[in-house]
Amino acid sequence: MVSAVAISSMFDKTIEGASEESSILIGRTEISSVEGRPVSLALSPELETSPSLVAQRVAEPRKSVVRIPVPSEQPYHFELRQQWEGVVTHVDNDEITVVLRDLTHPERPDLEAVVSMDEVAHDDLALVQPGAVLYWSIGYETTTTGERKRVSHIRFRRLPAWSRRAIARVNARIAELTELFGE
Amino acid sequence: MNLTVPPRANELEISLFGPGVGECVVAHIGGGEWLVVDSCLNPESGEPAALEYFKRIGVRVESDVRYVVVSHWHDDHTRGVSRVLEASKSATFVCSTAVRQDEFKTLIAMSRELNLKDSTTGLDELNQSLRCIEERREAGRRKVDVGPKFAHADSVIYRRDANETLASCEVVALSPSASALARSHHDIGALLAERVAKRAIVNITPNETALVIGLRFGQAIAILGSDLEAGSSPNDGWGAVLRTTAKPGPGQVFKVPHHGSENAHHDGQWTTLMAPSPLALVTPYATGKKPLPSEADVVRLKQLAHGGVYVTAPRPGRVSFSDRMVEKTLNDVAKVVRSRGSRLGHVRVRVSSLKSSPTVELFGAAFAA
Repeated sequence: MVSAVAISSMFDKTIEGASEESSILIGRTEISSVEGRPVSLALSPELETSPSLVAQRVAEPRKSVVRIPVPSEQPYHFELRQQWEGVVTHVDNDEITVVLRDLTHPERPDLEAVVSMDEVAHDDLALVQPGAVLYWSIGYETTTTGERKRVSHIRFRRLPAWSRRAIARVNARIAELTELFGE
Repeated sequence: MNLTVPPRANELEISLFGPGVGECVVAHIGGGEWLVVDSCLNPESGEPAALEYFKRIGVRVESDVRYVVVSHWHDDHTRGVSRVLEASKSATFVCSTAVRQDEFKTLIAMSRELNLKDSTTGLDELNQSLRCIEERREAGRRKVDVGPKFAHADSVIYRRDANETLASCEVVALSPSASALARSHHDIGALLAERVAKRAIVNITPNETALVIGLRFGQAIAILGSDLEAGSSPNDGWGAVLRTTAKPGPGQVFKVPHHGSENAHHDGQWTTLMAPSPLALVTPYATGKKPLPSEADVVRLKQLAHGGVYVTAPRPGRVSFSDRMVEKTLNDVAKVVRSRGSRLGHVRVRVSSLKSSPTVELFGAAFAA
């Protein structure tokens, strides 16, 4: 049986720590997946299941025997191409209407978009109501595996509850307005 | 037709600006004095439409603009109004009496706490305008000169007697009614009760507290309908306007309320307030599920306004981006995408205070329906 320990480090070029027994077993077994994930195995040309090879592997138990091609790892990157700040003006059962102010090109006129509720992240659904503020970003995402794709992110702003300090500011402004209005 | 020619001293001018979503009226009330009602931006320059126009016709904004009026607080009527007021150093600021209510003051104060990146909502503009007034008062100027002046049905905003060279002039408020103001206490209070979590404040409907302005300069009369809707009872909306005692008489020019919508129509507007062949001026509201005016609205207005129906801007077309990837993604994700205006339109009407026929000029995106 293939040891999970032996195969777990899929993104290593060589499997470190594989036991002699498991290495030999790998050499004999066609493995297409491990723990449900596809694996491509490249066997060392010298790997044979002859007794002499077994003896050699016992003598050099830590020599690499399995090579798994691995994508080069790179940091996640998001190239922002366009961003709007939106305010929800209308909510239907299955869609929302949003007025969008262009944050990338502030000189551009506002847009209005009707967006399906399916585009709203599950975590944000509870925030969807008239007056809710959202940020809509469009750009290219490059994943750690090097995959580049265009993406659209709609995230609703989580505004903090009214703090005492904010309420104090509101009350102060109300007092100023009352004075201005001469009441 | 020359945009840069100012009106004659005895001409009433009503200039209506609109880019698709947004409305601004500037009015010449004789002798080089001007009134600004609401504000919108020119989408191509980002500047308030009123200030750009004044610059082109040579108006000295700091001294010649007598009143800056905010008819109501919705974004499409307030963008840039604080800049207009700052430039209009001699102006009195006028707004609806609804703003005076404790509930409304709370709305203004709370709006500041939202801290939107682009903080130019209607309430923010109103707040900035009031800051400007506070500074002028702190500098020693009198409330009667700088405002805020609160107006409601039958309030007189401005009155000038006739003299050797100029006809008399009167600017009056025809709304909101006392009933509508009482109702707004409840409506705004309900809005505040819902605001447990912070969020932007969206419009209250129906709009019954907007300020309708009647203008009379000699024999020339105009009614500026703002966004006032028909009203939920005869004591509100246009039913109440028809019962005001300050009505200036049959008007030749009607700035049609609420972008020509059916729910702002009242037969009495045309039978009581307006002369037999009035001009109808409309700003569109090119947004929402039912952009205004609809085709049916235009048909109705053409049947009523025999002097012609003039619209500041057509519905904006398809939205395009220089970045094709952004355009494609936006159209993939959204079911509908519309611009809220890309080109400013300007309808200019001038009529002599001696009651000659009005002349209409169209600039930019404006057109005759």
